[in-house]
Amino acid sequence: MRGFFDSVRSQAQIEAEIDAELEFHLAERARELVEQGVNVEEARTQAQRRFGSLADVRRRCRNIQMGERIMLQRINFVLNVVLVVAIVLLGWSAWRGKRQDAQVMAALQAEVQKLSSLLEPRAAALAPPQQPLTPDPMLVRFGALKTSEEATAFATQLAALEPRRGRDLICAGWSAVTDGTLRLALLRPFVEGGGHGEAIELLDLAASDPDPDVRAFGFECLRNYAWQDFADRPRPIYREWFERVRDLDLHDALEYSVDQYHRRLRAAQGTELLRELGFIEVVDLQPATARGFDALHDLWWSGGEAGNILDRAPAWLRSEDPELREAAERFIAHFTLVCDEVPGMLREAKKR
Amino acid sequence: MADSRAELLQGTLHLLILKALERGPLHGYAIVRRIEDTSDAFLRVEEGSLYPALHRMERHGWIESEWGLSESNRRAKFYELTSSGRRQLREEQTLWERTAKAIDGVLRAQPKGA
Repeated sequence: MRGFFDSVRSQAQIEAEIDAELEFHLAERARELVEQGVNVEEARTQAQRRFGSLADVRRRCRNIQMGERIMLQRINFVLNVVLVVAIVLLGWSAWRGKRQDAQVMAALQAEVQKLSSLLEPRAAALAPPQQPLTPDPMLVRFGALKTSEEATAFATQLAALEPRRGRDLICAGWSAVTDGTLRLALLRPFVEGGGHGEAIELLDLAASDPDPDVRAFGFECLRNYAWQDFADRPRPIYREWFERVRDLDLHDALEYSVDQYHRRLRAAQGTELLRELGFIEVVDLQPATARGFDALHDLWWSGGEAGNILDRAPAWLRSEDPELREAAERFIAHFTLVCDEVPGMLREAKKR
Repeated sequence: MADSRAELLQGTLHLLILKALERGPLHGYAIVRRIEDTSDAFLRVEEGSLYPALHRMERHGWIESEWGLSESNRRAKFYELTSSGRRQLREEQTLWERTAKAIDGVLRAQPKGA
């Protein structure tokens, strides 16, 4: 199915995506250099120098993406040329054969028709797909939402679509909905009644929303999902844990889990360490876009999904918010003994 | 004086990209950082080679991509391993380990008569 969608993407879309991807890379590199004290203009120059020839990379990516399409277009062109030449030759023969009898003419015409009927279906099959000229009507509706009721009703329709399609539409239309209350209303059908299969990605989106109410809702749901996730895990260790903490309040439960976590880490040796680290993956929080000290603090103390958080820690270290930077440093120091990425991050922290 | 950072050996870029993605989806820039950070900044990825490699690997079906939001809240293309990519990673890793072991054996061999 994915291949099908790829094939109908237009050349312009493919090129725009390549440009956007390369531009993001250069912007990230430049941002990092600016954070190290390089001025903006010089940072951009250095980023481009390090990247190499942008035009060359763009051309190579385009050739890979478009390779099959270019080949089909060439075959199509050759078939068209053959057809035109055949028609011209037959026409010329017909002209010369004016004095020949009608039987020969009929045979020639039949030959032309036969050739056309053979080539036309192939030419049609190989023709480049038509570009969609109108925007997705579902996407247009996001900008037109006026009330929470409308938003919830629309999201209910989306939640009933094929799972990834509903989620992708919400992600694509999210920024077109300017009112936070409406964005909140869009989320509800995805998280209520046990939660939609693709809700986590939407909650990540909510957790980085500029509106504090949407953000709070996103975090709260992520936490609830995490607790539920404990209950559903098949390994005895998770069930034991869940049985132990289910009646505790959140603070006591977290203290218990941190204590368990430390105990296991102390017991872990050498190659056992990685296996033991599996224990901390029990909290299935995805702070991919989580920002803000409160979120980091909660995730830190939960001991949950440490690898996932560590992946994001370098970004937090570069945050403009000093409180957040400090929290990230504490978090990294907390995991100094247990993760092979940490030395690099600490170096980065010290450089800053 | 020679640069103390090593350019990637021919043919290892795919392996390193697959390995970088083993722990979850990353965008291209994060892949570069992951490889450099985990090698203590010893390996240097040719950024111009990274994207053609990613697109080729996607064509092979080893990875798939999806647009999302980066840590800096910008739109970025994230790549994720497919099950075929995980198989490929295992195969390439095994091959690499065998190759490294074989080269090590050659380097450690004593000259005849020594």
